[in-house]
Amino acid sequence: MTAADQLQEILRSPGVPPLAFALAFAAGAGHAVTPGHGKSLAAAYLVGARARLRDAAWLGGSVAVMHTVSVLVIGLAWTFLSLSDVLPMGQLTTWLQLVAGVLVIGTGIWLIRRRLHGHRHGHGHGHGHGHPHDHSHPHDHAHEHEHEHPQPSGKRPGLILLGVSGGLTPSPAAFLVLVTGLFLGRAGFALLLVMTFGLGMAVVLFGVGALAVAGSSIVVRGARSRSLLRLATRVAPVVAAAGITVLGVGITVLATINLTTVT
Amino acid sequence: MHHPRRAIAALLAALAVTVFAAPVRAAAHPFGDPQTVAISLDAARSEVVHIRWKVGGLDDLTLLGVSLGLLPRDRVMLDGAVFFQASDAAAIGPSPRFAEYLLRQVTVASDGETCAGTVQPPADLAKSGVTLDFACPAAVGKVTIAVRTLTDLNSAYQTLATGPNGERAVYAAGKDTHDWVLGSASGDETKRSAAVQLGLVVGVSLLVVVLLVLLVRRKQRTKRVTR
Repeated sequence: MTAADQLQEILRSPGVPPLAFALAFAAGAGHAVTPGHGKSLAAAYLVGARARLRDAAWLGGSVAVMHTVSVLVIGLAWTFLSLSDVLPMGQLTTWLQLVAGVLVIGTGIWLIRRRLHGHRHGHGHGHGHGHPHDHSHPHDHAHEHEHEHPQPSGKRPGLILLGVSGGLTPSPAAFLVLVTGLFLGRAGFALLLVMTFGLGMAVVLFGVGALAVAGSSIVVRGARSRSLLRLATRVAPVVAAAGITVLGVGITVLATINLTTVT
Repeated sequence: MHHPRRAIAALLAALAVTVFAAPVRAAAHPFGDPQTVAISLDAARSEVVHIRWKVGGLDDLTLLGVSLGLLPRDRVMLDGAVFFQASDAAAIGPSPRFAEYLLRQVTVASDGETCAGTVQPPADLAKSGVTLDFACPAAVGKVTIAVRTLTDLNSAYQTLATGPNGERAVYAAGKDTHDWVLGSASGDETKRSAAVQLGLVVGVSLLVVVLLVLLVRRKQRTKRVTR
């Protein structure tokens, strides 16, 4: 029996068992561990944008919030507005995947454009195109002043967009928990479980992001002495940005194929 | 503190994951609706109960067809994956074996007496489901309805049931009967209670978030002053 199945059982038992939240958290974390869910996108973005730990937290947080919102909206529409009569769920989720793919493409292109723009006009904020020394100093500088300027490099819009696209399609387990809760008259408890589920997802994504940040900071540190790494440092953000765009195209194409075959 | 090899490995790993892992994403949410039954009393005859059964995911319909012997076994792949084809619903819908199955798994009792069921020939089984009519001996008020569809294939299946006046119930393995009041109307209690509960949870969590933000801001401000 999976954690998601157990949640269904717990939803029926009286009271609010604390065990349920541990289970919901585990189910969310387990869900985020399965392939996809923007982990690779997150890693690519965080490497590409030279992000910090805080950015990884923003990413995880926006996935959790968006996932909860999408489960809530779809669950309510399904239960009270007969969504299933209007649109089969499989089709709806495929449409949502299409939107997610387009969001990812947009983020990727935005990231590439930022780099190319910075290169052409020689702006200092075009990370990675100047001499590595030039790069690392403004970065450290920005780090020191982050309290005064919460958005030192404009990474967050892209991060939140990626997070939104990652949480746009609700997970089947969370959707079922909420809908069952609505049918059983335990809507509030079910929503709390879905939120905890999202939190579990967020923690895993944050962990992946933190690894990516640690990995890329090793690269940056190493780059000061090794010419090969210097090249890698310069190329990585562009490759990561291109990778994000390619992934977005992949998601969009897959969703389109699914839409044309399902209907 | 230079680890060029590890750094390159990390970079390559990140890129490999980036390029190869994400397209699986689209397949990570293959979720369909859970199966549903909609229960209603006939408008003209107060002794007839209508139950419309609708499968959730269409692959569930294929699975049922295979278990009833209406579809070839090879429709279920070795890894357990099932693929629905448009012809499946057409093969299952008119079959007497399917009707028998439905009448065996869905039962209605009024005043302790079983109501006789018939299955309407489904027009579009995949899209709008199938309707069962149960004729009870006398006009019904409270009825006991049992739903055991698909749980014989896998106990994880559950059925979400809607009745008149917004009444709702969940059928699952082991909890396969429910009493419904089909007679006089009452308020839409479920919807109101859901709105109150959801509003409460959303409100309280917003409050918590706002408090946390204020707390963090204040901490930062005091940090800046002391610096």
